[in-house]
Amino acid sequence: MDGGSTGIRQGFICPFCLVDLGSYNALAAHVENDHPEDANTPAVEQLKGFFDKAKRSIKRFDPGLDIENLRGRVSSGLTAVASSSSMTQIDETSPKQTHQNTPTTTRSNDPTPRFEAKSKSRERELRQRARRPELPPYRPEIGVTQKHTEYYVRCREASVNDLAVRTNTLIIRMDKLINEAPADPAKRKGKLTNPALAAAMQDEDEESAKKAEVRSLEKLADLAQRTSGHLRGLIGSSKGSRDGTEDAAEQLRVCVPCLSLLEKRELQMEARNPPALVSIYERLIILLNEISNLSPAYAKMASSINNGEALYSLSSAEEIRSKIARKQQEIDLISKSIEGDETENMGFRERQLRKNIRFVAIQTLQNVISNMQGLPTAEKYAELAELHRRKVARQVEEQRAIAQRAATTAARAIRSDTSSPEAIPAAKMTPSSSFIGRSVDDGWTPELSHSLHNNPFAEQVEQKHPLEEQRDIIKGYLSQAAAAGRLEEVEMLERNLRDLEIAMREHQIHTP
Amino acid sequence: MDILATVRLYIGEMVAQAGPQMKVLLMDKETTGIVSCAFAQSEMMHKEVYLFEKLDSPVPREQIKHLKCIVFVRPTQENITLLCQELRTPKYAQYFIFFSNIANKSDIKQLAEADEEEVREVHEYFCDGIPLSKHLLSIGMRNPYDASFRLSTTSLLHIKQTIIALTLALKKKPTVCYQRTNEDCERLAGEVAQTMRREDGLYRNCKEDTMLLIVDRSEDCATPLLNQWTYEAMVHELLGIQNNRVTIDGQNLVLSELQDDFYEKNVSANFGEIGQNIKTLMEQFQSKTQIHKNVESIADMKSFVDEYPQFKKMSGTVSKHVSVVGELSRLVGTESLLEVSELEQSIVVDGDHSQCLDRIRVLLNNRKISNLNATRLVLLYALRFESNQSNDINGLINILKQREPAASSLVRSLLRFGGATRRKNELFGGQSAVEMTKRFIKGLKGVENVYTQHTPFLLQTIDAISRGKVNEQLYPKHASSEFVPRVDNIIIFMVGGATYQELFHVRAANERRLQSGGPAILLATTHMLNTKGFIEQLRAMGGGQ
Repeated sequence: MDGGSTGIRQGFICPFCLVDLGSYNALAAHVENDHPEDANTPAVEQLKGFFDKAKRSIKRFDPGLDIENLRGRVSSGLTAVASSSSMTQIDETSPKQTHQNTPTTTRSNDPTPRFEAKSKSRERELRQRARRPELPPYRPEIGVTQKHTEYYVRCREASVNDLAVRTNTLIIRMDKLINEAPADPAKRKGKLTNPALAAAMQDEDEESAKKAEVRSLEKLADLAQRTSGHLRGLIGSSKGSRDGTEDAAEQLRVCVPCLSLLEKRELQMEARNPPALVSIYERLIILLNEISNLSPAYAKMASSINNGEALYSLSSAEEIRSKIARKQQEIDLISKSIEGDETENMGFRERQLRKNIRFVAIQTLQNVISNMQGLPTAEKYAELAELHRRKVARQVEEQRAIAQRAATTAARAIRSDTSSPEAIPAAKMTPSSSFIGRSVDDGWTPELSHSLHNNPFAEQVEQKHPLEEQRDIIKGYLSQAAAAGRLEEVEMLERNLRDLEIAMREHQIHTP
Repeated sequence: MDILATVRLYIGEMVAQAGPQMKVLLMDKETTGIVSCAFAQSEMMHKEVYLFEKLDSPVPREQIKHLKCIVFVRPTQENITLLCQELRTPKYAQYFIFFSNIANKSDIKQLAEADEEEVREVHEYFCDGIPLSKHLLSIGMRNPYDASFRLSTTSLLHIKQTIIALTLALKKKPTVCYQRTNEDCERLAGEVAQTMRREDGLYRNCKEDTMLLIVDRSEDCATPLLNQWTYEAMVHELLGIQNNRVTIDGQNLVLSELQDDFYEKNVSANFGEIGQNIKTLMEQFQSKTQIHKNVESIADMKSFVDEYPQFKKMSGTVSKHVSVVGELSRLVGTESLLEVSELEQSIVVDGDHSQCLDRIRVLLNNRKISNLNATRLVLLYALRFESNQSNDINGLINILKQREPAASSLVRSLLRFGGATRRKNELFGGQSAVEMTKRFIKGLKGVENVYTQHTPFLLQTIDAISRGKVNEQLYPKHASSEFVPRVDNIIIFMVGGATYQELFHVRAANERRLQSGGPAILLATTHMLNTKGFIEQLRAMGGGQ
């Protein structure tokens, strides 16, 4: 980027709190100290792609040190990252790297002794590795499975077809029966116009009532209506006569097998209109997911604010806090309504089911609440912010002083002393172990959307300015973050976008 | 090989297949054990599985039409019949069926004909044994033997099925070896190898880097007769672990390495170390909360936990272990277990006959010694000095009869089941130069712990295999099994029950693997034994003769 433009901040700026630290060493130390990758805080809280890359690039960009040392560090950093994928791979690649790259890239005036010293320690390291057996890290995986669904469905089709035919025949018969019955209930009794059905029903006389069951006409008509739409007319006409008291005449006798067919039909119909519980439960699950996503974002904000950092505003944290509180309330209310009260008439298992749903909701809430940190008042926050500013300023000063001292010593000793880069504690410079152990399953990462790229079928590819391209990418991320409800990321991306647009104005690139 | 993780993945995938919405899990007796060891109930609930039902429950189940049903059962004839009934009068909206093993095509067809359209998926997911921990699978089958000390037909079939499912779960196509001296092992090996050939398609993507070794309990009857001093083994010996659960004062406690850090860390620790580790935790808590209280004995620990409920919160599960360890220590005292254990070790390790005999006689007349411990001492004596010409097995049986009426039948069963003529191995150390030297060196160095000198026979086998020196006379490859060029994993199936002491050595071998290499080992068995269980097994086999 061109220098001189006032809108762009240059220098050793911490990507987390935007403080200029003056030198690489100070910045690196600052990142290690003030923005440690805490293995305890969930990965969600970090906008993975952005932060990790920013940090890694800080770690890699190291002008004050000799390249060889740096390379060793970067490659060990890479191995640390890669070790989660495969150990054997590392053992093959890392020696190659040291032996091929080191001599050519060493820029020091007198490379030989240094190289030897380095390669010796490398060799020792390799020997140590070689002594350990090659054990690829064990990743449990699901075992063999076998699917029979297709075969099952094929077997089922034959019998299901048969059943469907029987049910349909029955429905059609009933349609006729009800449709063609005389309107006068008195006449209807025992005068079935469908001879086949009449015959079937006459077989079942009063004495064999055990086998037969009596059902109200209304119920049957209802069933039939739902099954075959053309019965609707009949229902409308018969409704008038049914408004009064139940008439014995409005009952039909159906044999047991037919009744079971009808009942099955009825149940299938019911399944298509699920009970109210199902939709209430769906709402509950949505809320539980939302609150589980919001609370880590809030935790991150709250701890930053309680630290006095200026990364988030107090008001936005308060907003999220009250949003979580509202969701908590709603979850509590909904899950309580699902559990129902003792007076409600339901089966033992149904009650247990509802109790268990409530239990899960409560447990999730407890988890959320126990992880919620309080927020300072505005006055207290101002105090904290002041404290933090002072602390950072002091640290910056200290780091600068150390760096200067180190620079002078290094300059003096550069020819003889190979250990001068150790002015920065080596332990702090190696990638933190949390890099390896970081779990990613709960994180959110935006994906590059293809629509943002140029149309591959376009004849002439219009070359975009890199800033413009970057803005499109950020916009894409932004809409994804908004869709995923990641408030924290939305805010950050918006900030990022604003900065970009300022930069683009500086470059006189058209901003829409 | 981590069978517990694999089973968790299988069950997680079942839930995923069923998709969102409220679900019920329908299981049989065996799969209930599998699920309960792989997941905590609340964990399943967070996966939206809110109800757990048994397919074979005698009480009719309630109809809840808005539930999806995950069926996870063994593909037995009985289960197929029950499932057909279920599908004819469906109680739930949709069914996702997962068989724990290979199902017959005809059974699947039979199901399909009973179903209308409720079933959405039918799969085979191969978890057909209880994953008690990473390296341990148990069928949970009590006494697989019949009165002639042979496997019954049903047990043989079940064991074969479990072994097949286990290899498929681990994606291994092993070479099958067996203990030559045992006919059941040979038959099992044959049937396993045959099934592997027949189901070649299932083994298509399985690795050929594993050895399956089938051995029988009769090879080593000493180990299940000893008192144990490592945490897990001790809890099972004194309190009895059932599918990772133990009952103390009517309270059901879960001992799972999966959900309990303290247990995971101390599962192999010895009795003294556990008390020390709990004490350390309490001291840390004290220094944090600035409480000054002397915690020396287990009783102190118990009162400490009662007094400081915050400790319970901070330490999580540790307070549970305080009550477990408290109970163990009470039993060690009241039953003079230190004295008994020392004598047991003398019998199986030193083997000085006349000294052992005298000491057993003394303890048999000691009222503080429980009947179980008296019986175990006599059984160990009989096993150890069976072929010693001056032994007094009958004399000891006569003393024991006053406490244990079946004494003589038990001893007879033991010797017929695992006596010298049947086991044909050197259970109590061989007479070879190497063995003699080993014992001599041990004698010079002295023993570190008199209560834990004995090592199970299985350890010798494990060591030999780890060094790539399998005795092919003792453990040949089955003729119909294929040869595997490089063995990196060993699955040991122990017919007739394994002990937690044996698991202890399997764990140790797997830990050593991380340091110095060697094959990974998984122990599978019909059931987990303690002395009580083993004696009951002998009693059942003896048929009261």
